[in-house]
Amino acid sequence: MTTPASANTRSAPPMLLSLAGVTKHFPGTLALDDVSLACAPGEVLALVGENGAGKSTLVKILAGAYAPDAGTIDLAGERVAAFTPARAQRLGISVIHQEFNLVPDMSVVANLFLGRERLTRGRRLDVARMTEDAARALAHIGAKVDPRAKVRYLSVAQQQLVEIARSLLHRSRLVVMDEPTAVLTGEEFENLLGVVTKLRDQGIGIIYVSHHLHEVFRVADRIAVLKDGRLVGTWRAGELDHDGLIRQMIGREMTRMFPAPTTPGTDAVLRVRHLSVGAKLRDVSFDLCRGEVLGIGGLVGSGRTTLGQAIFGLIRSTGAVEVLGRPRSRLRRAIASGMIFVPEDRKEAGLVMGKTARFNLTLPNLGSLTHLGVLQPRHEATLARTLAERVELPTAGLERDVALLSGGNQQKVVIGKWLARPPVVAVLDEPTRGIDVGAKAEIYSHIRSLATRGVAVLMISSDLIELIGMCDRILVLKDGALAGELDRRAATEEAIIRLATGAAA
Amino acid sequence: MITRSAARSRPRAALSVLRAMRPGTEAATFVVLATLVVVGAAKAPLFLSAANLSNIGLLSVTLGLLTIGETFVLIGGGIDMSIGSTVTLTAMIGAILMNGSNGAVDWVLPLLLALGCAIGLVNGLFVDILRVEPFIVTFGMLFVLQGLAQQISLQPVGETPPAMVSFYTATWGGVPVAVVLMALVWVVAALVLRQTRFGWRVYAVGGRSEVARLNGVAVARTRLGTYVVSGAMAALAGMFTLVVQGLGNPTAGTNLEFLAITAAVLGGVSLAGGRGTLVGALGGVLILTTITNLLQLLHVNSFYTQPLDGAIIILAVATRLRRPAFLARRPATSSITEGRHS
Repeated sequence: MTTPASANTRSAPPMLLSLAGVTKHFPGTLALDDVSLACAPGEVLALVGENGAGKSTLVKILAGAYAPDAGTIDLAGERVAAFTPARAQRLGISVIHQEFNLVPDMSVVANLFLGRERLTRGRRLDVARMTEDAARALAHIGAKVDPRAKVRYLSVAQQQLVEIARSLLHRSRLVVMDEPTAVLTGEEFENLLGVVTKLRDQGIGIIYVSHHLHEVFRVADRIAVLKDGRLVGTWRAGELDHDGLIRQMIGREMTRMFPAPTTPGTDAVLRVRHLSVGAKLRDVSFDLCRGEVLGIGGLVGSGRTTLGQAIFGLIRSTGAVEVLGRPRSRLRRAIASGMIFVPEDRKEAGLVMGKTARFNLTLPNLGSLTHLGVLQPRHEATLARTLAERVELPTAGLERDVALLSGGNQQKVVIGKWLARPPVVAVLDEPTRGIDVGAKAEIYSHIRSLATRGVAVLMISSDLIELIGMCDRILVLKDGALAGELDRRAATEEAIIRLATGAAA
Repeated sequence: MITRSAARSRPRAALSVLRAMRPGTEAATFVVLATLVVVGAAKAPLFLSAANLSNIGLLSVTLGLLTIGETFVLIGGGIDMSIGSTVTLTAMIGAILMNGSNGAVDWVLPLLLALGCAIGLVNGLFVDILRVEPFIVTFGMLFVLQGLAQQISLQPVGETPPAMVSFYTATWGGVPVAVVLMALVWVVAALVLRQTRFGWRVYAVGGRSEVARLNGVAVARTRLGTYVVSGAMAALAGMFTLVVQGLGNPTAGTNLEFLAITAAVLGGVSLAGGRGTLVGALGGVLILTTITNLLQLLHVNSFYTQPLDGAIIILAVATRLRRPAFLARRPATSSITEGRHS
């Protein structure tokens, strides 16, 4: 039922963009392997794939940030060589990254015209004309944004519209959107959908990168699937259904991703009572039992991360948090009482970049490695090796700078460093963010083995499939308050969404 | 966004006063300045006299010129620690070359300006080509220039031509010519920063250099430009030092870079780059010179001036501290479930 469409589109109109045999190596990985793709004018081509499938690399190549090692890029029939960001722009390719390409302390106008400022004859900036044009472009896509406002004070959705307006102003022929909805609410997505349609009707080609399948089916004319750096195939949107697309993306049955569940204990080791953080978290109470994996789901801004940080004591909160019946007061007390926290952002808060995996693994355990306050290198090396084995981190990686490890191995270090003294409670915020599929399955099995050792795991995730596959119980947050609780049997994507959005059944 | 609301919701009176004055507003700078003027007028009767005001004006010329250059560099995301020693070196070389001869002014001044630009160019090249931290590059440059100046002489040398010295006392309609000219330089510099492509790009490079690069801005060249502006301004300041001191003094510019940075920060220029205006920085210059002037008028021991400047720079930076990024994360950075569309 799912034959690639590329085979029968030979007589199609000339392509706006065509990639042939694009390949990109990074040390240790083949990020893109012989990828050929095409996008016609006025077409929305969705590019989907799991994390690590090569989507970001492809986007960076289109943006001119990376040069491919092999393969060709043709734009409107012309071969493009020596691609740079500036050249990509001049050729009419706009890339809207997840991290916006905006300078926060400059006005919207200044951002819109950055790099292509308009000058008067006296070599002064023609601010009046630029402001006018900016206002027109913003109005065209229905963005209610004051061109003179500083970008810093705009909402995320508004900033995204500014980016889109920029591609209009620059008469882009191809707009690449990299995970455009990662930062949007549902309503803002509907708005974006309208904008995308508008661009398409103007004959602009759109490459829409996403791993959110619902939105892909609503927006795309064609869908290209990447997996492990290779193009699995390209299909017309009507040729695939949801499950078919997942099969193509994952390339295996989903159940094998997750370890078998275990039976949690019945004694509550973590008690959270009336926990509130301003307006961001309101009166949340729950118990977490020994050996249980409890999931926390919800939309962006629902308070997921805030909850994790408040439980661990990273941010000030009201209410009570008890570990093993004793109140947890301060951050250091949290660690002493047997809590660990694996932050959402490994790079910023979970690892000391520039230091070796050994250093990072032993960092929280230094107390047990010193004699009269002096670090015992031999003990340190032994412990690091033990921990590395426990999380199946290749020992060759031990002496490498953690910044050079893959996302999966980095996460193993983050989890491994807490395993010397098995914690009572582990709070994991987005434990598999940015990790490729294979490593994900490994991380899942480590999380489960934490639970079998009696660790109470609180797993915060935006990935519904992961929540459903891993958790014994799921709490869903909405606007900072508990919207409901689902046990393993009741947990379906639909049920979670219904609670998270507050939609009536 | 979250930083601001979080700051607002914390009802701590003392801190919130400081915070309210914080975020890059030139208004705060001028409120402080106005307060100083009111206090000055009340405490020292001579403070608002025409003679004293032109005194303040002249006092602010050297620091003012240096702060213009420093502001360009700071907004561009760098820092220039070498401007004080550039002042010293240009002053000494100028004093020796001209040595009291009016005829030499015509060719020596352009030469000094070129020297300042060249120093800025070298700073900029080291920062951009060798990718060395701006602080380190310009700090190193400080010692190189100071060493050169000391090689020339450990004692004051040369003599400023009479034509230049008379510049100090010249007035236009009662206003010192030097002050008028400095004001002109300010206006031009402010226009460059606000109304030219280079100016906008300085903000972009200092604010988010990667964004600037992706938008096709020549980041290195723009940054280089800021150091050249800074070097040129330092050379102008060196010339004015010659006017004031009448000779080439090997300590003429010592520590001036710190005062210029203090003035810029007081005026709302961010040490992290990308934020601030020259109007605000001018306010910062006037605050510092007014304080110095007031201390003189009130016969406060000059021993206190330096500690006070030090305290001011700490306070100025402290009041604009941001919360660490780790705590001030924007909700936008976390991803969303795929669910909300169904």
